[in-house]
Amino acid sequence: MLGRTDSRVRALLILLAFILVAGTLGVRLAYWQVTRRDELAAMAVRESSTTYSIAAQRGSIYDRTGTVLLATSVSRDLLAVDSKDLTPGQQASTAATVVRILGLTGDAAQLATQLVTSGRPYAVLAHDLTPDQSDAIRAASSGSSPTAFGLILSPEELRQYTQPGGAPGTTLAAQLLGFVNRAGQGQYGVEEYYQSVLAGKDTVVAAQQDGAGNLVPDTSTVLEQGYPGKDLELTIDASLQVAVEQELLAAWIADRAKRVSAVVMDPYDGEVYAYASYPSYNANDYMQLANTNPGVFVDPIVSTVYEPGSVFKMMTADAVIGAGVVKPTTMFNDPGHLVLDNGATHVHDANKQSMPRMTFAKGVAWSRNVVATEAAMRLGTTAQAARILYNTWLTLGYGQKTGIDVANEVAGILHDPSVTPWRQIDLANASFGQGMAVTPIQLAQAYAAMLNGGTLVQPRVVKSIGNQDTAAVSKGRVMTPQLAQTLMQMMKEVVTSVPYYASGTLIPGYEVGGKTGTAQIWDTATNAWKVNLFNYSFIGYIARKPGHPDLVVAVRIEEGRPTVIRQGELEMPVMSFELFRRIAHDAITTPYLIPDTQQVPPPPQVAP
Amino acid sequence: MSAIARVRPAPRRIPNIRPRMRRVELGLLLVVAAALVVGGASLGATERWLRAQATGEAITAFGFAPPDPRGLGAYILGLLAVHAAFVLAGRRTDQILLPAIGMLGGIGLLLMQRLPQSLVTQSFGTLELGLGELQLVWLLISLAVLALLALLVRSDRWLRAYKYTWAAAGILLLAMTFVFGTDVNGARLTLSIGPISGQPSELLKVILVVFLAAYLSENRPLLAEESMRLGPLRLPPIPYLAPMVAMWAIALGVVVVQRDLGAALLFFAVFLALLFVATGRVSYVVGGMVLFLAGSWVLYQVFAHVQVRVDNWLDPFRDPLGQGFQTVQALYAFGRGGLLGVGLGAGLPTIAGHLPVPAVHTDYPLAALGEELGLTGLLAIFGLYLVIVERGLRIAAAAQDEFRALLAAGLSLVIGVQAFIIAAGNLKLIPLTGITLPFISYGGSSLLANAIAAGLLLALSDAGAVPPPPPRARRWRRRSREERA
Repeated sequence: MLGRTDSRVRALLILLAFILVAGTLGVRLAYWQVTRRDELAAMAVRESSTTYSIAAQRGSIYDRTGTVLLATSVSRDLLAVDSKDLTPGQQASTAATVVRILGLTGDAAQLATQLVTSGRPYAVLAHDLTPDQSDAIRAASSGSSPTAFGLILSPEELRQYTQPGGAPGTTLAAQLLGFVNRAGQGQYGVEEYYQSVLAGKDTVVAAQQDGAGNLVPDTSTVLEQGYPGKDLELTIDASLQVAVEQELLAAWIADRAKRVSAVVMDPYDGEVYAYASYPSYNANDYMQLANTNPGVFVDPIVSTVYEPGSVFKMMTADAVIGAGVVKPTTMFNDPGHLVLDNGATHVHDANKQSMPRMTFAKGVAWSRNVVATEAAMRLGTTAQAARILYNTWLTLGYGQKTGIDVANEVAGILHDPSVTPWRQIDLANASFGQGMAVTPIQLAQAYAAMLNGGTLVQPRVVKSIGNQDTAAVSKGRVMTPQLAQTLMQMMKEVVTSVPYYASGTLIPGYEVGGKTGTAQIWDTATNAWKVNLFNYSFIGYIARKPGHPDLVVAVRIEEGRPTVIRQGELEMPVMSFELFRRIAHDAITTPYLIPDTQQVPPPPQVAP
Repeated sequence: MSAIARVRPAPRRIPNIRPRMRRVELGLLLVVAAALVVGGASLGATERWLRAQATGEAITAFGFAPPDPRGLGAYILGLLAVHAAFVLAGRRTDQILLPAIGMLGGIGLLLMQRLPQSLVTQSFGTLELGLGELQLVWLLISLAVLALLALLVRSDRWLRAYKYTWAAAGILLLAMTFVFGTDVNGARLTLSIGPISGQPSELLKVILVVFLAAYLSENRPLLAEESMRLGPLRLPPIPYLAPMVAMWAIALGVVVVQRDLGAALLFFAVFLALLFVATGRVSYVVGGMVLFLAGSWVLYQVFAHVQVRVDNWLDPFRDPLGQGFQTVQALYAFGRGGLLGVGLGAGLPTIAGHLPVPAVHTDYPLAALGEELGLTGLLAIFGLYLVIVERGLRIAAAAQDEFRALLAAGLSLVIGVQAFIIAAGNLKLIPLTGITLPFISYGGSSLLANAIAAGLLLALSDAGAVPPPPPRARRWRRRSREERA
């Protein structure tokens, strides 16, 4: 029989047990709070610290005058919602408010309502709110009786392209500029090429956050100091750019072309005054276009190659005259066609007809394929001729990027005769610009060398970065001044000696010259030449003072549909040289565009 | 003298009301009030300083006003009012319990006032109450209940005579919760009646103690005697063990079905402790613990949520942002607190109005207190619980009969064991179980149930209370002895 006394002892035992447990708890507490304190505190700090970036303001882009704003960044709000802790009533009210303020209808309104009532902790409702919309959201979310709950406005940068282009529905110099995606990355063109310069550097800040991820005030320290992006001034003249874009649109419509492009460049320092293609686009709508027509982003001037055709006869002229085997006055027979490779192949002129005996200069002017072939064959054996011609191309910058400060430039394709020896037909084709692929900017660069006295100058589109002017980049002398002068004279002869060209090219009061090109287009789909579709090119110059070119203008009409007058004689409403004339005239009459005196030595006269 | 022992109980009137000073209680209550005022002032100053830091404004003068001076004042006045009532009633009840409980309740109140008030809100008509205000209301109600029980309960007949009725009521309560209750965090613990919702398992623990005390005291001699052997185990006669084990099994079963592991652990621990106090049989305790471990293993194998709890206990850092998030954040809080704590109001829980430990007001008040008061503060709090247990056991030792002894021991144990279970869970000593920290955690039912337990304890401590009815089994023997005398 147990008595109360025993029970008392047992109560004491229980108490002892309790004291033991309390002691254990105390020891355990000391273990966490004293022994492992530093470790836990360090882990807590590590877990509760966060780094975030403060976006740097992206630089703006101006034209060469520094007054026309082509691209700039504005701050717009992103609207998101945290509907996790909202009551159904609050969700409904918020959804109605959002739909009203954003003016949503139909599916968009339904989607927004769905997101607000989803109960998700974060859902983006809209980007790029107008300032009025942001204010309305703020007003609805605050006050004594808010109608919106859980809405989050966070600023993001929106790139705006402010100048309308020369064609409807486009922004100015869209393909040259490119655009900036949501992540702040420049895409295509100058925006991509100068991404790091324009974007600047984000400021990285470390701060403490609590368990819910909210930043703790006053704990932030700057880890990496950022800086804003720099502004760019392009070499582009906005008014000329507009005019060129208008001319291109007109030609595109008239010629039913697939694409038209033009570059206006200073041959001496490589500054590009105008740089345009059509079809172009509205860079502010890039996101929609990315889904419907992303091909329009590709810049035809640096990113697409084509067989240049007869404009390459000037390279042949450079090679043969430079080698001393032909002079402009050297006489050639032109029977209209030429049998090569011991009868295996042949070439013929565009009209397949013979012409009377003529000088080399006349042959180039009349764009005689047979004359170009015969001239090239005078360079020696086929292998020797191929080597000389190929080296001439390399010297003039073909087969490699020009280095223009625009993204996604391609190098083009040349066939190296030391890899695959050329046959006679290859040499012949090469002499009149078939069998290689080049970009319009490469043609402009090579012609500029012939026109500026023989120096290869890198084309460039940015005149100054921040307040720092960029400098011309010379790639060195590629021909003697005499040869350059000779080639320029040949270009002049093209537009003066052929009446057909003269009527479409000459501009009273100015000296012009250049070379046409009409290239067949190989259709890889059908493995045949495209029928009645040609790539038309004209690269030429315009000079206010005779013998001193002011501008080089490269024009390309891609897959124009000409009317055939007779074989070899094709007529289009706006021929390439006609388009050249319009653009050259626009450019030469643009006020203050071209410096009054070009600081170049007068080219020496050579005997004809 | 002998008339009392007659079959008729004493007439239900309150004899000899004479005010009696309670100097110890008053002195301790004044210490408690001073501590709470200092705590409130420290809290208010810290909060203002942090706010100024956040907004960047300069601090011209330090203000020491507590965040809710009226609330704190009302609570201290409430404590003093209870004291005054005790004085006026003149009962010779324990003088230590009220200050100890008052201190714990005050710490809880300060904690609830400094946590984000939107954590819990409740509207009564146009009146909207936040966390601190609700806690204050419940504290005042609990103080009133405690005082009423301590003042009015003079006879325990209504407890001991109807033990099976109480047991039935408790089971019914749980069953109702299971059928009509609402789910919170996957456990069906809450029963809502109108605007008020409560956790019946809190009340059930008091009922369980009453039943166990009554049953064990009545059948103690039989349970203590060995009459059956099962291998090395010595068991009491089955018929006497059965009702008790059944009661325990049903309660435990329902609790397990409801997934309230903390309550299950608490019930079982109190059951074993009372069994030990009543019978002195270590073998029961050992056997019970073996049973418990076996049961736990089965639960771990069967229930996914038990596995989650245990895995979190073993290695909370394996998934520190998911399952282990709360445990890890609580450990961080303990670590930040260190020896002396960062000071009331300076812990992370208030910053930016978000909580690293979401259940800080119910399951993890110790984490917040450990951060702000440090090891020293928590040891003091453990000390307060020890004081309560010690007082309860002292009351048990002084009790006039077995039932009162077991009841007093059980009531104090239920408070102490619950506090230590949740503390051990917070400290990653055992897997975390979702029960409240008595008198500190937020929650009306928890405060009320513990107040009932404390009120009964106080009533039992009255040396001048109505003497217990004579034990039925030995009534004749005592009477004959009295007659002989």
